[in-house]
Order: sequence, then C-alpha cells, then structure tokens
Amino acid sequence: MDFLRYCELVIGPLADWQGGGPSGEAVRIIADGTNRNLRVAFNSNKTISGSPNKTDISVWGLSQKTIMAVRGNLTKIQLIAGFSSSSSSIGLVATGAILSAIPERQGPDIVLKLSALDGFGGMVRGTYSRAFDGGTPLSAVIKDIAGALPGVTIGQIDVDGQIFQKGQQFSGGTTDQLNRLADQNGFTWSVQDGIFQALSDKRDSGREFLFTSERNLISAVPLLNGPTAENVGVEITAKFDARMKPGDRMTVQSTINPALNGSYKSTSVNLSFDSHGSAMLRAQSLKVPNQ
Amino acid sequence: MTMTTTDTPDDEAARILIDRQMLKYDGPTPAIVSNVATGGQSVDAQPAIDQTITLEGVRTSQPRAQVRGAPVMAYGSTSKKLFVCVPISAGDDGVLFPMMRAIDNWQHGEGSGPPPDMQTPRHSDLGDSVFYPGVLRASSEISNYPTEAITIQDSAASTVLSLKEGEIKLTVGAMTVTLDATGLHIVGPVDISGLVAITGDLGQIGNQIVDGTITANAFITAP
Repeated sequence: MDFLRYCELVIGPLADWQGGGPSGEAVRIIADGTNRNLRVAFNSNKTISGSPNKTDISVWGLSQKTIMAVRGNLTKIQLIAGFSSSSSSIGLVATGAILSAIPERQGPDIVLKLSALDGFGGMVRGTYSRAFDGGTPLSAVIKDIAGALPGVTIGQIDVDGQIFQKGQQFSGGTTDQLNRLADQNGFTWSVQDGIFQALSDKRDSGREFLFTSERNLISAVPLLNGPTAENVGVEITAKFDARMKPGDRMTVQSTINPALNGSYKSTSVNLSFDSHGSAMLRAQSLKVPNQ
Repeated sequence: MTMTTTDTPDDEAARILIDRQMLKYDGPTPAIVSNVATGGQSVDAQPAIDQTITLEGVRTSQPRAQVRGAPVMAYGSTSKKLFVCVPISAGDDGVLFPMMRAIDNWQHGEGSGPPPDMQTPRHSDLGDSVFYPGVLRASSEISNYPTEAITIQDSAASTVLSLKEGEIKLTVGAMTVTLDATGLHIVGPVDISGLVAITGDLGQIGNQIVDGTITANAFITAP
C-alpha cells in the first residue's frame, strides 16, 4: 500500500533554454510527507496539443533567503514526485521554465507560489526558416523544425507521410510552423518534460499504463460527443502516477463500468499532488481507430 | 499597437488576436529570383522582406525560407502555345502572389482537380505562389517612360519597340523605322542583301549610287 509521498524540486540556476546550468548551484527542495521536511503541493496540466504544459507549485516554509534565490525569468525547474514506498512510481512531473515566483502569506505561513511551463523558453525563442522539396518524409521535416526549439530534446516522432509534390516552405515562429504542419497532416506534437514528441492521430506512444479497479482506478466516466452523444473516449481518476504522459496508451479494466473497458490514447493528463495530502491522476483519452 | 480613446481592453485584445492570426496567412510579397527552371516555367525566389523577431526587447531579422518552383506568370495562350516571354535570371526582382489553395496538383497535372489530401487545407501560403517578374524598385528608373504608347524597351530607351493607335515604331539609337497610315518611313541606312520586288512605282529624290551592274528586263524610261 503506497502511503508516504516523495517530491523533489530543483530550480535553476540558469534559464531552461540555456540548459539549466550546473546542478551544484541549483536550489533543491525535498518533501517526503513528514514534518521533518518542507511541504510541497502541485497541480500539473499536460496536453498533447502543442500548448506548453502548465504546472502550479506551492512550497511552504522556505526561508527568506531561499525565496529571494528563486528567480522567475524563465529559470529552469525540474519536478519529480511519487510514493516513497514504491521507487518505480516516482517519475518526472515537469521540466520547464518558471513564469512567476510569488511569495504569499497564508495564515502563519509564507507560501511560495511558482508557475512553470514545460519547454516554454525554447517555444518562445524558436524561429525557423527553411524550404523542403516534395517527397521529403514528414518525420524528417518535423525533426528539423523541432531542432529549432532551444533547450528541448528531440524524442519520439511517429508520423507517416511526406511533403506534397510542390514542396513546402516554413518561415516564422517554430511552434506556429509545427502547428501548421500538424493541422495539415493529422498529428499532434508537444513537449513533455523537456522532450519533444510528435504522434500520428492514428497511433499512441506505445507506452501502456494499466488502470484496474483493484489496483489504481478510482473512477471512469465516458466522454460523450456530438448530437448523438457518441462515446468517443473515457475520463478516469486514478492513483497518482507521474510516469504517464499525454499520448500514452491507457488500458482500462473497470469492474463498476465494464462497458468502458478497453485501450485508449490519453490526450490530457492532470496530476495533483500534496506531500502532506492527496495525490491523484486524472486523464482524458480517446479511442484510436485501427489501433 | 495604437490605443484609441474609445478602445476597451476587449477591443484591444480582439485586435491583437486578429492581427496575430492574419500574420499566419501570406499575402503578395516582393521576391528576388535565385534560380530559373530550364524551360522558364518556374523560378526559385527568395522573399525580399525578412521576418522579424523581438525577444526581450531586442529586434532581429531573419530571411524567410526560399520559395521553390513558383510558376511564372506569362501572358499567352496555353492552348495555342503562344506567349509573351520576358527574360528572367537570378537576381531579378518580382512579386510572389500566393494562391488561396495548395496548387501542387494543378501545377503538376492537367485540367482541374482537388488540392492534395490534407486534414486541414493549406491556404494563402507563400509556397503556393505565382511569380510575377519585373516589379520595379525606386532605383529601377525607366527613361522616357511612355505615356501614350505600349513599348518594349531597355531602361535607357536606346532600343524601343513602340505601338500606339495608327503607328508602329522601331528605334535603335538614331535609326528609326516607322509604319503609319502614310507608309513605311526609315531614317538611316537600309542594307538589303536579297531581291526587292516592287509592284508599284518607285520614286527617288536624290542620286542613286550603284556599285554593281543594273540589269533591266524592260526599258528604263527617264522623264
């Protein structure tokens, strides 16, 4: 039975698009669910749609010196969380840039409120200008464009097809060019924990997570769409698991609502965590044709 | 963006949103030819207005991507295979006019047909441009720019083919050939190496100098 939470927050010293800088100069905050250490809570929203994942973090009880050391101007942040009793459950929640760092008073406590976006520094800085000949594989084009996102590592690119006969030219913000290409060719791209991924709308990442009523599934409700209320997917609430990312395959085995059992592609994942409170995962997912 | 006194924050936000969205659609853009296809049917062209990027208050510019294989606008008839051809070479100025839809299948096919199979259609994209050659910059002055005639000419106007109502005129330096309702008028020497057949009268004012022999098949009558 998982009980004590574990959370590790590493901040700075440099901006995310600069690679973060030497770890020895970073601010490192650990929360283990006991009163010996600090309390950390966060809420992380991740999507597959190309907009940066947002994580709001609250840290209680920091010294004034530490609060002053945390800068907000796109400083790199890394957040790891899970359950102490199960090291395999501990995973990276977010790697990105701090948008704001604001200390607030809550009763007797000073709470540092951080807001971070995954890969944001690279997304706002990336510009691109290049033309491709007709017949160039889309995967090669996507890889080249994504390479113009500073500080972002290229990960899985699983997209079929090629540039049409006439060729295509791309000029402008890198994220705009990726969005345009994705809209035209039926794939999604996103930056998950600092790693770029692009997946065909017809396929998931290949990483599978099993949600069962006996082990980790709390609730599952259908996602209905259109005038005929067609069941297009499922929304689940489950035990916290930082390893699951948008694009991963969710296999649902519910004893309460067996009609929803099956495999889905997650499109958004919400992770809420409090080192001294609850730790949950919520995910929306869609049926994937031909999977 | 300029704020007017009647603007509400919502107006301002809507304006910025529309402006940002409009930036995603390309419009006609001056460009410089970098390569011409052997048959002259298309060019590669570099957009001549760079994109600008402002990061943390610092504004920089970066060339836009080259447009490849833009079909050349040539006046003419594709069915009759007749065209007005202008010379195009690397370095020439022109304008890229983006079409509303992807032109891959039109450019490389026949007749009409659908655009390429895309989930969301490509539209108003500079890559789907037609190239109009010869747009003029301020420095590209044309001497004696015509106000009444259509001309084909060099920029110095030393060589001009001119057409207007009732007159066609050729000018090369001091030599002119003019055709009008009264006849053909040539100013300058005429060098004819072949046979000249004249069915009407031939009038001459001035002397005739003959280096060779004059042969008459009939009588030559002097008045």
